[in-house]
Amino acid sequence: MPVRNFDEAIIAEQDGSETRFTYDEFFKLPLVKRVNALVALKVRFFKAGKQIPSAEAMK
Amino acid sequence: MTRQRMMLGFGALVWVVAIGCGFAYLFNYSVEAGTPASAPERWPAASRMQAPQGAYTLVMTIHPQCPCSRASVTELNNLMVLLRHERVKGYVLVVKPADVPDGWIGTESVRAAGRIPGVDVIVDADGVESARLGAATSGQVVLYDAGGRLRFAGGITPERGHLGDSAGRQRILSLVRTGTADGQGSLVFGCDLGATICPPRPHPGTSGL
Amino acid sequence: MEESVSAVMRGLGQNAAGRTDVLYSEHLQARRARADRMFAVLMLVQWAFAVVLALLVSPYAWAGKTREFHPHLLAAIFMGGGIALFPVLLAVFRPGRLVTRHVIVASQMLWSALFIHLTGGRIETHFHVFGSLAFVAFYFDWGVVATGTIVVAADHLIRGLLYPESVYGIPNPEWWRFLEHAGWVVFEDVVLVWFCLSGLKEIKTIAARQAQVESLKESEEAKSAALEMVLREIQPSLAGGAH
Repeated sequence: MPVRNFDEAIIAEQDGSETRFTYDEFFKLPLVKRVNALVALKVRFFKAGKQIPSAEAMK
Repeated sequence: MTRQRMMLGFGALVWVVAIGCGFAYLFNYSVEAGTPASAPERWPAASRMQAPQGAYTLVMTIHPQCPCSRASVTELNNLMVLLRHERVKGYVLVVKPADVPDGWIGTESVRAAGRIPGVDVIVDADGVESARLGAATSGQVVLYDAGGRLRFAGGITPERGHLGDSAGRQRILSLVRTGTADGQGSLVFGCDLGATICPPRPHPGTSGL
Repeated sequence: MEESVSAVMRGLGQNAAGRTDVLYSEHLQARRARADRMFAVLMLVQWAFAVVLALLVSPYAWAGKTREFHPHLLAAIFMGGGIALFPVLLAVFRPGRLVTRHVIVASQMLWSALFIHLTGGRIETHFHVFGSLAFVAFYFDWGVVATGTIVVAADHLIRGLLYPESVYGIPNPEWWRFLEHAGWVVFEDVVLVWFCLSGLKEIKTIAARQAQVESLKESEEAKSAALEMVLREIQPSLAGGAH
């Protein structure tokens, strides 16, 4: 069972809106969408209410 | 109003008052002239100093403890340097009351006066010589020509205790070099010689006996 | 449709520009607050020095054999304290603010005027004016250089009108004499203003570089994170293929 390094992910969409995902919901998204969001710095990760770096979230 | 704002407001008020009143006070003090001399028109015959003979005689009277004397003596030094090619004999009278110890006149202004070339320093016990020349304020300068006639009586600093060129210096230079000047006096800035002078000063217009 | 790479990089560039402005403001603010604190300490040192100076040079005024405290000593204690108090309070409670540095600079130039009074107009004391103007350049703000210059000019102007002999040493200075004094100050100002402007450019360059480094670091970290995620996901299929 992988360790859950984040509780929530927020992705900034192209139209300016933001979408929230739980850990499980984020990993159900298509791989390409997840990779693009990470590389474009459009996703923020949170653990216990505090924002954490992407690198820490993806460990 | 928070305590911080009150402190800042107080500080601002003090600042404005310190600047406004402070500089006005300093300025008024620095331009407050002393009592001018009532110098005799002819060289006083009773003077212990040698009467002018073929040269101008310049005499400065100083109160040894007065801080303004330092500037007067420095300006005298500058003046004597400018007059070094002219025939001018200089004296500095250091007023010393009878009842003070010798150390009372051992100040930097007196020592500096002793280092001026062409100037003799004379300890004026009880201010007798100064009284003969009608001096009332420290830094008073009188200039007599070769014939013993008074040509200038005034000060040679621009303000109290301040160094720099002055109307007095300009007039003395003009008188010695050309025989004429645009005035025969200037304001004197210094401490009151006051009770150091004994006997009392002569009234203006006397022959200085 | 996912964004193209170039659009992504453009977006990153815009973020870096915004971050540059933030870093620039932070650097400048920190520098100016540090300068405020330095001047606050200098104000107190100058106050102490003024009192010592007055005690050494002119502690008493004399009339014959009687003496009283010299006006210069009283000025050093009370006026000096008054000039120092407000700048120190501003440096403590409002560091880095515009009004703080303008008050500090005005006070610093007034210290020059006070020291010149206390030392009887010594030529050497006038060096304090030019030294202080140079200190003011620490702020990298040409506006405060102007304030300092205006205070010096105002002092000259007021005294020159009331008592020209106190400024120029003679009662009837030539009409152009004030230009000679002003000229030397302007000479220094030109260099100081250039120094301020080039200093600001340098801070901007440093901020831009720092923003770029931060952006690159963030970008690399994000790429590493994405790669790690991809590897984790395709590992089972790679392991299956190996068999």
